[in-house]
Amino acid sequence: MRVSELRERVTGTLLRFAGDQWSQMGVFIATARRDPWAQDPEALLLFSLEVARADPRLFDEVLDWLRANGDVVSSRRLSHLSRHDPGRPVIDAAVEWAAANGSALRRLPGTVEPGREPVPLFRRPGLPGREDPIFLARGFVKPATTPSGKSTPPDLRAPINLAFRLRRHFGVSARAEIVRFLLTTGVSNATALAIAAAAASTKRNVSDALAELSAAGDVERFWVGNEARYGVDSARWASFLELDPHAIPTHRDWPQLLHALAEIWRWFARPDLDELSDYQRASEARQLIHRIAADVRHAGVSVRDDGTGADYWPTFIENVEAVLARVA
Amino acid sequence: MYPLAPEAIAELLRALGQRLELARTPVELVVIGGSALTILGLVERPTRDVDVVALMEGGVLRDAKPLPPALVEAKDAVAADFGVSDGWLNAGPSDLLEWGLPDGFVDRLERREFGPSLSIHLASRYDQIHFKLYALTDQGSGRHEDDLRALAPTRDELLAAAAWARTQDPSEGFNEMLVPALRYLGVEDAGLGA
Repeated sequence: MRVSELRERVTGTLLRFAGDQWSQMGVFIATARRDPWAQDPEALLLFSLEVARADPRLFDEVLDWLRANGDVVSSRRLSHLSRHDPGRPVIDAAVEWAAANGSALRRLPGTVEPGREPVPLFRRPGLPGREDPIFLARGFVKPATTPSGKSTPPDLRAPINLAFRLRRHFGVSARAEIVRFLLTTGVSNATALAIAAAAASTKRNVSDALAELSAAGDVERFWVGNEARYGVDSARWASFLELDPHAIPTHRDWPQLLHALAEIWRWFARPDLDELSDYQRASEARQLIHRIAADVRHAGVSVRDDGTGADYWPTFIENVEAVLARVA
Repeated sequence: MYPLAPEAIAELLRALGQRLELARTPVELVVIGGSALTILGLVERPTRDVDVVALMEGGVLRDAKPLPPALVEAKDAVAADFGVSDGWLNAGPSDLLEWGLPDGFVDRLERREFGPSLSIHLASRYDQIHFKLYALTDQGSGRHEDDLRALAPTRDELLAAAAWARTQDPSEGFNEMLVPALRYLGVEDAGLGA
């Protein structure tokens, strides 16, 4: 498969995926899809505000959703997940725009001032017009954004929106993330460290929240040696949340999976990709896969490394297809 | 490290050239040892690595230790791409530069291009005789002896090499090994005082 074909496949798949996810979460986009999994709102925001740089309409609708639903978004998680991400400046701009347009979200901790000339936000330049002052201040040239006002609150009965439902019960807190992880994975002996990684929170916050939840009897705690392990009574939680105990929303390692997909997206957006030799392209592809391998494996996808030099390219395609299949 | 066949060395260097081109970092390396002999066609045997004795910048030799970061990144990427050790290209022999290379070394270098961003300056046959005699004396027979015999040095070339080798290691102990080494190679009256 040629690089242009693969680029189109990656672009199309990821834009459709992002649109379908947000559609189920209250963004004004049509979809017939109803996914069985519980989504991670902050990981999806970070991912979507990157890929939607190729789809201005999707970008603006996600902004509108953020304006309307900022009260169920965790600025702490968003900041934590994006702290080393090249997409962080876009997140900062989006949050500030949402805050300026009535969202409950506030400027993220650790926001960094852009130290460069503004660059176009969208991949394809649009018609010249009035620039959005908030994005411009954050280093991006973007047409002025008027809230569409079309976003609705997430349907809390939809599996994908379990995170929001739990946040309505527990508040936007580590407690909601802990229950989401334990309930959707079905893991009965999770360590605090594994939970903290999934919750995208500090081990201290998670430990405190786990102590509260186990004291209240919401989470079961037992000891293996000198290490605490945690689980939940799925049937009890399903009953409490009025879920079919056989159709509890499923788990995906979204922060890792979406980070890997965003990196793949950025790689295919490289302007020099078509000019590289077969070896250079394959070599860069291998470097990409090596960079994201830990995340990809964490998300349950095995990574192959067959083929030397330029002959790595077919293996790269297989690796990309395997990651894409996790969101198909 | 697995031995690298002669054609593999050239493939690795072409790949390195392409990686450096991607990094927009032109590099000129001065290479000695088995890989240089192989590229020059003076010997044909597998070699373990590419020995960089110096960098060339504006026609002047520079210390290769540490290797420049862009070069390290590029050679590590090539190692990953071809499943060879990270040490496939190294600055192991760069200490030779500190003690002085043979007179006229730079003028005798032979240049090969591996793309627009990588030039390899190969030590000449004459200079390789110097390095190989030094290595043979220091490390004993084996591939160094094989290489030296393949280069078919004359008596005068071996004597010149011996004089240079003594500048690298002026100790009496080294001299005591050098004289028998020369005798072993057919030079009976080296006149080195041992």
